[in-house]
Amino acid sequence: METGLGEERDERLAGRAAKGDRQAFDALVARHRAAVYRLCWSLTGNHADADDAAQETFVRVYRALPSYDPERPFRPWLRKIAWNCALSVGRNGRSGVPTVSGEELPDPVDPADGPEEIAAAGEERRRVAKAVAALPAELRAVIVLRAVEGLSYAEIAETAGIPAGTVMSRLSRARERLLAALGARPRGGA
Amino acid sequence: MDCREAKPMLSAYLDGELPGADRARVESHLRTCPACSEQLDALKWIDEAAAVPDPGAEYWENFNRRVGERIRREEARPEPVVVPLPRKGWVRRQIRYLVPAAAVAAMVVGIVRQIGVAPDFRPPAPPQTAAHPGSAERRPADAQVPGAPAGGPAPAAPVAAPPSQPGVKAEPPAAPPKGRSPAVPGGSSRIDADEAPGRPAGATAGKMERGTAPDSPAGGADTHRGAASAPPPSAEKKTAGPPPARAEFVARERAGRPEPEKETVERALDGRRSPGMPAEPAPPSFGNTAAARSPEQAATRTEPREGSRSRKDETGRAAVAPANESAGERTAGKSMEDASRPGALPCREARDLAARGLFKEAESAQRACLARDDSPAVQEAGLALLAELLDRQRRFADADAVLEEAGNRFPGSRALELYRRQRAQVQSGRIPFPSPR
Repeated sequence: METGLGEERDERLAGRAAKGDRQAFDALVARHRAAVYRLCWSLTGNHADADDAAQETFVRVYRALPSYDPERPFRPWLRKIAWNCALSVGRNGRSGVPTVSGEELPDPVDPADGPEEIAAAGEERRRVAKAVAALPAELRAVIVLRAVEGLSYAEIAETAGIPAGTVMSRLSRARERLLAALGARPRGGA
Repeated sequence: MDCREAKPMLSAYLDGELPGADRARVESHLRTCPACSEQLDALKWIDEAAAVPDPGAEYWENFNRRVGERIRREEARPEPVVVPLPRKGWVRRQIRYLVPAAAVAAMVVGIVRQIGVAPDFRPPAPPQTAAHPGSAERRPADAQVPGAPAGGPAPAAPVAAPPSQPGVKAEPPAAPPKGRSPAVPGGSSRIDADEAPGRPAGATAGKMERGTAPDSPAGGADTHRGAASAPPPSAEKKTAGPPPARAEFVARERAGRPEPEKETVERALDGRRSPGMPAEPAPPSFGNTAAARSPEQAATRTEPREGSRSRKDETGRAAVAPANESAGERTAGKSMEDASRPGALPCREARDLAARGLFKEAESAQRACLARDDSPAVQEAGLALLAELLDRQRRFADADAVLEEAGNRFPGSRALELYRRQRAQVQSGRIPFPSPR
């Protein structure tokens, strides 16, 4: 996501949404819903709970907007709300059994690849995604926030309310487990 | 740097989160180690391949509309959904679940102790001041003044451990007992409040004598039994944290009857029987070792409790046990020392080594200390120190494991919580050893 301009716009949108501008609120939702969903999925491990948590996140944001301080960065504030919603839903939600079906995964297509390469890459991503889904929630969350969302250790620590050192150790453990589950063999040339 | 040292750092190296010196060392190692280079490539592959399933275009098309509908439903609801949001980070989040869990565990421990330790235990009969209502009920809690400060770990209590007991007794009245989560000041009164997650246990704890530590064994069945008719709320509100004996003492003082209370507490502590009071069995201790003793050892057993209380309680609760204080102190001091003596030398050695920056050696010494001395006080503080020593060696995962184990064994531990708060600074090297205790 873009930095300076995007953040200013988020805060400005939030300020207008707080005053009752539903279009501004809609814009915020549209802009951040995918990231919120991914964060929620990282903690809950299944679509139904992730959906519930993502929806609840924006409901809470809507209720909390009047007290939102525009001087405060919007995205970290939003992430913390999403994190708490996901935790809450994960405790009270459905079975929480992580599920990943092959069709759900985005398959990035490299124009240089032939059909076989694309299929192989897709299969590999599915394998990795399933292994990620099978991680314990606390490890899954940090690996998604780092590898998928690209958050720094400090940002992950702030979101999850844990020290940066714990983020580091959890990431290390998550990767160890993934390598053990997948076999420590990278793709050819990776 | 060898592979054993480099491999744990590869993850942070990949993320660009290693401090400069460590990064340079890892890079230097990678230049000469094909195995670690391959490991790093594997980590990169994991990151590149990691993905979250996408729910599809149709899902996103309807997402905003569904959010709007949900908002309207919420607004139409008569009562808003209370969504707890941590205001102080993860510690506060944990408390909401630790406290009720600890309260339930404490009750179970208390019940098990009563059943297992003193099956024929009966609450002592009311004192001669029969006019004082609730005295009989309070007596058991009184008599159940938490056991020896040096009492061993609860026999069957993996949580709500006796380490809280010394703190329970020793805390000044205004402060919550150690057994209670330090982040829940006001203890049971907070639990009695409308904290939804804590409600079930809190409600029970509320029925128990208020002012007891619901997560301490003392706050378990004994207090529960003793508080069948709880003391006046006014007295108990004030003593939201203190142990039952203290709460009763305060209540009785207010009733203008300090003597009988003192007698009761004294008797409970040292097994004496006041003139005119009916014969009663010595109250069972909450320490496992003490629990195994016979009634005739009650005096010896209870003296440490009494002495330690009087010694630790700066607010002058020593008056509660005047006559036996000197003996109690000696015994208490001795028992406390005994508790720590077997492990004192290696524990001190560990600190000395760590003060010189020899964290690896200090870790070995500290582990030896913990292996030799399983008293709750040493274990609780020792595990916190061990976690710090591991963090200072940048073995964060090992420290996580230690803290997790310690948290399970000593929920609500002040020492652990204090260390957790400082952990980020310790890990980043911003504060020298030792971190403030």
